[in-house]
Amino acid sequence: MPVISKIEQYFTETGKIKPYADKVADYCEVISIVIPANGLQTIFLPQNSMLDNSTLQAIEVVSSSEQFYGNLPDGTTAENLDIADFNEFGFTLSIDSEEIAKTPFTSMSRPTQSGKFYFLNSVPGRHRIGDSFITQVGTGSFNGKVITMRFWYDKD
Amino acid sequence: MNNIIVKQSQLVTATLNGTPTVNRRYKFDDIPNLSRNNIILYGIEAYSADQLVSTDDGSDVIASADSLGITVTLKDNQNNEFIYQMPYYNLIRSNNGGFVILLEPKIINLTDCYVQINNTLGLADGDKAVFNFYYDFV
Repeated sequence: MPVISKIEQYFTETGKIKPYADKVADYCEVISIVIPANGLQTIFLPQNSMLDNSTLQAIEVVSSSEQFYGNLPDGTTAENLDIADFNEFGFTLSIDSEEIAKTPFTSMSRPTQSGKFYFLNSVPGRHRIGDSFITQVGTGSFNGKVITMRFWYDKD
Repeated sequence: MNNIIVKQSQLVTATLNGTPTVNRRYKFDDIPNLSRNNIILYGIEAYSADQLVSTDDGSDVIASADSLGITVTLKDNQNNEFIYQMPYYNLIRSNNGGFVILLEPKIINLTDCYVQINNTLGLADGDKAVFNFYYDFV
């Protein structure tokens, strides 16, 4: 039999699984990013020390079919990215210097996953929002549209 | 029902090099920091082009319709095929009501794992089968 570390104990006691119907988190923060160009690109998230100092419980990406408009920095709004275009984007969350690597947006879209969240349970110190980034892997033209991300977190 | 909590994850690929042929096996691509029998896999998710259009190097991800023609086999560090010819389609999360396939945590031998073509459908040379591995280091 292969050698198995204490991960099984860890699996059950501290959890790599979570009942999907449980409360996700106490708080929710929204980060909106305007897509600056068309085609292949990398877009870094703005630094957010409040999230860096909180326990991240889940991430979700919001499409125009859930919330038509996202917020722009100048207080106006623009259309959110369509759910049909999510397959052109991935998100890399900087955890322990980049270990959740390029998760496709479709994995973090709740309507795509029958309402299920993308659970993280990342404690303060592991993640750094300002080092996280979005990658467009397709060549589509989405300049000016907004990517709205919801970060579900607990204060420590 | 439970769903996965992601501790660490990485996209892993298997490249269909050459003309796709029935029964041909394609080993997973080498990823140096994951392929030294140093990860314990506890969850896996597969993607078609409906979920991700292309990989890091710009290769096409296999089309949704073509995912029906591929199976996946995972080997542990003792060379046991603990997942043997599971349909690729079954590993696509949205086909399972949003649940990620959870596995008994096992140390895997990444470059001995493979995908196999059961029907070539519209598969083409250079297409990639793409997975998200949810893992911990040993």
